[in-house]
Amino acid sequence: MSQRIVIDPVTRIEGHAKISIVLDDDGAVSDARFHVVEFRGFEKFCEGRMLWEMPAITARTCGICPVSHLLASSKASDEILAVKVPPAADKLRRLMNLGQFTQSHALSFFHLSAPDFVMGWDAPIEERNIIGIVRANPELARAGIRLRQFGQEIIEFLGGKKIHPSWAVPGGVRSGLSREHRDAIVSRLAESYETTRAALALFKKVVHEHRDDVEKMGKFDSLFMGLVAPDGEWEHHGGRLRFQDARGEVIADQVSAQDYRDHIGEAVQSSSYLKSPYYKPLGFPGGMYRVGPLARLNVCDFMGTPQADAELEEYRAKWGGRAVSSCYLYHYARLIEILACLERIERLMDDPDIHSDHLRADAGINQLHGVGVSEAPRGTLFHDYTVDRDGVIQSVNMIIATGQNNLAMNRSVLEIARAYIDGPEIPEHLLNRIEHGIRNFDPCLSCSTHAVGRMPMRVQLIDAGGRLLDERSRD
Amino acid sequence: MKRLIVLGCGNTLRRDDGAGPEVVRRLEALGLDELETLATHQLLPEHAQAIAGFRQVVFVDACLTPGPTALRIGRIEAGDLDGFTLHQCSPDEILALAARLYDHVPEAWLITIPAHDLDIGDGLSEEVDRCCNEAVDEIRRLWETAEPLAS
Repeated sequence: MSQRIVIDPVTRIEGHAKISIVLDDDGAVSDARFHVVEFRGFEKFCEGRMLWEMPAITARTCGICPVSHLLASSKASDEILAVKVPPAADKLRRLMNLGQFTQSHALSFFHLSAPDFVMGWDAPIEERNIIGIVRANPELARAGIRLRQFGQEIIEFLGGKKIHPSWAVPGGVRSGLSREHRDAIVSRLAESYETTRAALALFKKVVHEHRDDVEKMGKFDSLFMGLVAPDGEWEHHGGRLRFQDARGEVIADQVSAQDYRDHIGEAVQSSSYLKSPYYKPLGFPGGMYRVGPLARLNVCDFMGTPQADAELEEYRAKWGGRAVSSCYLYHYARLIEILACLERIERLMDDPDIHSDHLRADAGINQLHGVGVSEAPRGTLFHDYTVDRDGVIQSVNMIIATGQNNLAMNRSVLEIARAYIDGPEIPEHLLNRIEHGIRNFDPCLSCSTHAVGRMPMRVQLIDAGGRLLDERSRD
Repeated sequence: MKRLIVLGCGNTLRRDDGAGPEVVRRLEALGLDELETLATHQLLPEHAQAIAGFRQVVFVDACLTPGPTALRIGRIEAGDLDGFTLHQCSPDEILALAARLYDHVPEAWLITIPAHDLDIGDGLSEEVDRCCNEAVDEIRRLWETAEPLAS
């Protein structure tokens, strides 16, 4: 008799989702699914809008990573205008993206995930949240708040506000960086390095003491995808796509964004509004791939900055070389990326181009189709637009990082459930583990669900006849 | 320790909701020494640090209430953090964070300005415009006398 566990709702994932875990006749976990039951419709309601509006409109997709949509949209629009963005605009877009990575990764690590590391898996839910951190380790809480603030200030200095800046535009950016703001950024760098190094030390200690979590919190084979520079350097805004297999072998390299449809298919499942992209040559679902920090560190040859490269070398030596596969190590990769961002921000501060007033290339509609790709904190982001000769949007396709991790999130929940469920009862700590299993990916849906560790959940164990065998919940 | 900071909260693209930032703008135009201001779309955890170095803080925000048309001034204390979220911080929670993280809670007031029009657009309704002037007068009086605001 098969049985089913349902976790409904799973919040912290932009509102509406649930997880179901299916048990076989022997009570062993046979399948797990992460359902997103919320529909937003950006791809449809953007039809009929003007191309020039798209960066500002699509930035509203998310309150945590609006910059990512702003930049991917601007790059798709650049393609349609068929312009070369001025060097200063490219560097300033990069600077904003680095600020975005810093603030988003800091939010993920310090505010959302650190409570599990610091307070412990089995700590009461009332304590396992950012307020618990404030009470237990105020220094860590202060540092995390300030690191996130640093990233947000870079966004605000460039775009005029921290959230939803309408700053990047087709052909470039609206404004440059003042010398006053440049100095303000420089003045915060030393403290930001210190905070990041402290967080790295904390997480290294966590994985050293709890190595079992690395094995059980979603360790499985998959492909990986991310942007890399022509020489294989870690990329976040330029470059081309690289796909790599579970052994760390490159299987497709320097793929142009324009050709993404040759490599990425999008499966639709009736159980979820979240699409399930897959690597087309391997089909669905065999073409499951992961994106985001873990994938970016796997696919790149090197980080391109000294401190991050030293950390990458240590990380690869300990955890799997070019094919690090445990989802738990997303956190580690995220911290190395913050370090890389700080080094790149510092490098840009000495670049005279950032004060240039040549910030935008003007043009009309020169092509009817354009694809923009940029790395968001959570992974590779695609914006694909078709327009008519007047620049009116005819069709839109957006592939977001969380969607690309959908198959892997399902797999991760399955692995965690298999590790901790044994029989018809639901262990109390399972809720916390599954919650964290999803949080490893820092899903973009998380806007509404990052509510201080209070993750409304309902887990039901139901047999094939609909009989409730066990239930656990929290509000 | 610095003397006084005013935090004006609100969305300037939703008409009367922009009352807080507008009060900040009017105060800045006065050029008062030792008065710091901060206009923000919403309160965030980092504002705990922003206020922790001051003896006094005034939060100014619009509120949608059916009855009163006059601004209200209330003394506030550090609140409870049990319901704290990253998405919606209240002034008393910011005070509580300042206490926890920086060991200091400024003497604090909340000035609420009753909003009438929260439609999309900029500019304030006549009543809110008047209340903003009253709020500026009250804060200026606090700045001049250091006497607590009358609730």
